[in-house]
Amino acid sequence: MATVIYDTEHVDVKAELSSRWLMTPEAVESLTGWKLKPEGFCRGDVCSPIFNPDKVLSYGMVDLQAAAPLLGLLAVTDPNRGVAALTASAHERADDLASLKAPDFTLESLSGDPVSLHDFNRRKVLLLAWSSW
Amino acid sequence: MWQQLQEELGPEGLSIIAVAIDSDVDAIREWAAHAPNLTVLIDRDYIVAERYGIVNVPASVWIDEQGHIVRPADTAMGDDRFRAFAHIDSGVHHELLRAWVLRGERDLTDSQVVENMERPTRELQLARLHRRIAVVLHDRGDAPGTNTHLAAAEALAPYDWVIRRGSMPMRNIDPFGAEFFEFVEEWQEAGSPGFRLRTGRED
Repeated sequence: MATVIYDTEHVDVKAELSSRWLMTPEAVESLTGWKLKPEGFCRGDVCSPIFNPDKVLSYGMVDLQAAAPLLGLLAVTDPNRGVAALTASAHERADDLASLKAPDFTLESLSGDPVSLHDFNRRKVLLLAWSSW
Repeated sequence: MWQQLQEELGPEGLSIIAVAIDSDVDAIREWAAHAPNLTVLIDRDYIVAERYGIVNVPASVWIDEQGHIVRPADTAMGDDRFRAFAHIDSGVHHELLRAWVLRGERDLTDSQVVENMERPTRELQLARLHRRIAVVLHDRGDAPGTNTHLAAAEALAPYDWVIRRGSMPMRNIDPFGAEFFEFVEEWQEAGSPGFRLRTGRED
């Protein structure tokens, strides 16, 4: 069993772990919403052609790290330890920020209750980031 | 100071959400005890840091009632206890905050907000991913795995305080010790990269 950390979610996935992190196209679709078609990886109306199939595909399996940029994502994989992490690419993050829309988030309060930014709709918010270190 | 600002400006429509970019629940609870009117949340996976371009703490982002960012991530001190070290007059930001909450005044236009955002690089995103893997491995008690990924994160983002200094507790390094001060020197020699605005700076 392998774990993919996709933002805050820890997802158990089936993967072939050797020197590379390989997953079935179905597992990749389940994780990311992108479906492998002859045109490439598609989600909704958008398709991302696979210009480097020798890196991205291996006997019908998908190399998560190589495929990630095609999905607007970045991946770091540690096949030896069975843990990988996935998030939006720098380009996607930069675009998100430049839109000036405040990204929503849901985090736990000290009492363990989930609190989201959208709960503060109609308030002016000062988001203060701090730490004890 | 943040508690006072929340008491003062809460009735005028301001909510302060204090996100702890931290995993030390005891330390967070202690801090929160002094600030009962703030919403204190725990961001162990550094999600808010990543999404808002936060590369150092403490930092502030202003978000209006329509969910738009009206002031980008910037240094935000609660008081002046670190003024000698950081060369930031904490009062400047507090006054700007009052002007915005009480009179709707903004000191930056939308394009200035975008210009002053810390734009993420591929290296920084990769560093954040390595760090998240390190946290999972640390929870599993895999010390060599933790260190491998933390080292990779630090090599990719050597001047991101949230990653460099934030990882010190996981490596059992004193975040107020010698290694930290070496990092500060390195960071200063590199031109003190980080937030662009540095509101209230005195140097």
